[in-house]
Amino acid sequence: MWLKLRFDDLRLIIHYVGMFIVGMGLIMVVPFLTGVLYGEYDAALDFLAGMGVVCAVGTLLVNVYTRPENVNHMHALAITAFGWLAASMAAAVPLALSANYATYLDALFDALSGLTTSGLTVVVDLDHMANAHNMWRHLTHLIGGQGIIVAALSLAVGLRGGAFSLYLAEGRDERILPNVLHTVRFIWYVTAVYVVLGTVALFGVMLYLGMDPSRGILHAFWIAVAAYDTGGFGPQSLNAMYYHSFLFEAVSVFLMVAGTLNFNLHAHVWKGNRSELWRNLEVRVLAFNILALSVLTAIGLSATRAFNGPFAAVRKGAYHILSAHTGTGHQTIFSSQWLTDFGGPAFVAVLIAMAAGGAVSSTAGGIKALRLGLIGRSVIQQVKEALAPKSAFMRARYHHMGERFLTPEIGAAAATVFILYIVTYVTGALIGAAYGHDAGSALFESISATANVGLSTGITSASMPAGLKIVYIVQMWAGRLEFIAVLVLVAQLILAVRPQRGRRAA
Amino acid sequence: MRWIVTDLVPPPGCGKLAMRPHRLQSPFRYWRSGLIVEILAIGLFIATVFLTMAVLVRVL
Repeated sequence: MWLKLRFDDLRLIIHYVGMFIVGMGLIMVVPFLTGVLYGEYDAALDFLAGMGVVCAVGTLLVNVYTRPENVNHMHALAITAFGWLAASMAAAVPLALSANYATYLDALFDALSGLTTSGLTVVVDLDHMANAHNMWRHLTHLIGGQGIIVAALSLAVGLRGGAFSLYLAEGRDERILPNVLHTVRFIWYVTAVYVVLGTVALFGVMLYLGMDPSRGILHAFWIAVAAYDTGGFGPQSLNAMYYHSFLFEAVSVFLMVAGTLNFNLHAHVWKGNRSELWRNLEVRVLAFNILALSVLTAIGLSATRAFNGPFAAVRKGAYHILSAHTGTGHQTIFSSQWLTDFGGPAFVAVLIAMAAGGAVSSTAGGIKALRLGLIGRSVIQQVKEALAPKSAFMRARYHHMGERFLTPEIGAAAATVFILYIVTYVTGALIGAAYGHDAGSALFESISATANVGLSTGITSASMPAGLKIVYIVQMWAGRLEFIAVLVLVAQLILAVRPQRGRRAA
Repeated sequence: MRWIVTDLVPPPGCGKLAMRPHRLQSPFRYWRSGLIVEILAIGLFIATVFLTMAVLVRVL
């Protein structure tokens, strides 16, 4: 007997989705003011029109159900899955009104890529985009990085019950404080601290590089947001390569690593429990993976010798391994260089880094270091059990915000998500190959989309076929929500159309 | 047996002072030193990655 969504459930879901849409409309005030401040009145009008359309549609949906009840687990999953799509559609409206997107689908691609902190882009003529539109693109990283639900919860926008179910449905595994509202406010607090620090540091770098202060402050804020939220958007078409600065790379890579750490880890360290930084299984796995993949990258780059001297090779190698593993996607090479200059082991290292991803309950995507650690521990445990006498009773433990027992259920849950990611990586690669791209590039792009990274071999562009754009949109969406919310939505659709079993004809 | 602690009942042996309401401390009262530790740890880690690659690229 499965729980099917009834008509009242659908009205409740639409009510909450409407709230997210209204929320997105209200946040458009920021790019609107940016446009006014920088004298970009056409762009400001795009946002005024966007706010009008989005808020009107959102308000209509909110009024579908005026007396919402408490949200249960099933509602939470459906609201999350629908909410992310609806919020992306709303965010795409002002982008579609700009001259930088050929179609609404392209604007939707960028809006969803921004919200899921992927960073893949199909924008046209980015170098001449208005500051207002660029502000909006980077704000989508800020909203989506913390989570749309988290953003709504932090403002407590009409979410009357089931707040914790909604919080979990968004791909977050643990609460930091007993009260879920305090938890989401702490997430914003940590983000604000790092974004402010990053903006100040990057503004200094921009001034040092000779950039005009009024432009430098925007670039500093955008890059700080994109790096900390492991997004990957940049205000220039050359992305991070535009700045040609070691100092810039050092600051941005620092923000990427800070952003890929678990918010719960920040909480523990800020509470005074500093030993968590090196005792935590997830941190250990993350550090080990990055160091091991750096070795592989060094071997690959030594073989190709494509970069101008060893310093350049190390600079490019370290930057991209960290950018890939943290799920950020800032790049300082041309897309075509992945298969030539990063060939062999270095290319494979970047693929593995992207697929593995950052920490759970962070802004990063991918399989996540904790799951990899748990799967590794489960394998070791099974080997130990096979070697031990039958009478022996063994239980594995791991350290993650305290000592925990590794139960078979925890290991199975980690393995399930791992398999779902691998299946999606491969499926996306096969579809990419079917569109005529070589296997390496297709796999690279598929992993980048699903793990919300944003590095690209050049497949993702405005000229990409619409079918492939939709495939990557689905991959980014499903990857950000870690599949379960999306699978529940699909299952509900199947249940809705499937005839009920056991009902006999009269 | 369950104990319910309220601010109206002073613990045994304590006078009026124990009843005086006091401000709760934030659980994140070490956030500044915690932030500095994080910054140092992340910086050290990035330096380790960079140096590891530098040594390998030189040797290979």
